[in-house]
Amino acid sequence: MAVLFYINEIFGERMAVITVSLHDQTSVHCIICFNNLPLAKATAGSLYADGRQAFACNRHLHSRGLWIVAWALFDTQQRQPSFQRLALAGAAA
Amino acid sequence: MMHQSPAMGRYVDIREADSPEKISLDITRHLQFRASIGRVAIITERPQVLLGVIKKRWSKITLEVKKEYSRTLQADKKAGLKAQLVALPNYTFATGEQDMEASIVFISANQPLPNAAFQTIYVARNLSHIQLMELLKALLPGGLLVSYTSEWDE
Repeated sequence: MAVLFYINEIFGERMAVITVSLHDQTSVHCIICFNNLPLAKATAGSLYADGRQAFACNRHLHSRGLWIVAWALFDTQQRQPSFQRLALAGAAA
Repeated sequence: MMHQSPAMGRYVDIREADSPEKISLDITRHLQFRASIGRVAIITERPQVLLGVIKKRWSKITLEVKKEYSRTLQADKKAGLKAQLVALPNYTFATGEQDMEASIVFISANQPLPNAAFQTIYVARNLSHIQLMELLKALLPGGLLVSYTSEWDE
């Protein structure tokens, strides 16, 4: 089973800090099936227009056609000027 | 829901693959939509060998994208796939000794990495804690480290 977690800060020469967030209940949005899921069950793909990290359910990686088409569509949408304007407005709010 | 600001900490993804073939397949599939956002490093015991395998798999991915493009009727999906077909051949692959500035660099664990240089680092071999910390420092803020092992040697 794959596990994804987030490190707020890197410090020291040892990894102890990383294990702290392994049981993180943070929820993220899948750009493929549009469901919310725990970060641990997601994987990171490309970025939203405003620079935020986008995620998908880890299981989708094994559905090749779905994975390719969904991320290609997402990337194209995020590059469209209308999405970028919305992202900038969201960041400014 | 997670609403983190862009470019803050780092993500770590511990993935399972129990053979070199499955690791190279998983990396190639995952890599496709990470390479578009920044440089990628792949840490491996045999950089030249893994580079050859992943370049071959990259050709297959291009064929898969072509296949999806030809069977898709929806205009926005077609535009996305066309953008992929334009982008995929433009990524450059090299070992760290050949060209550290390539889009996708294959590096042995002993080779030093510049700080905050990579958006994604894949780790296809066992590392020590200290080596892993060095890799995290080589990631850009907001970057992703993907590891195929969760056991780090002292």
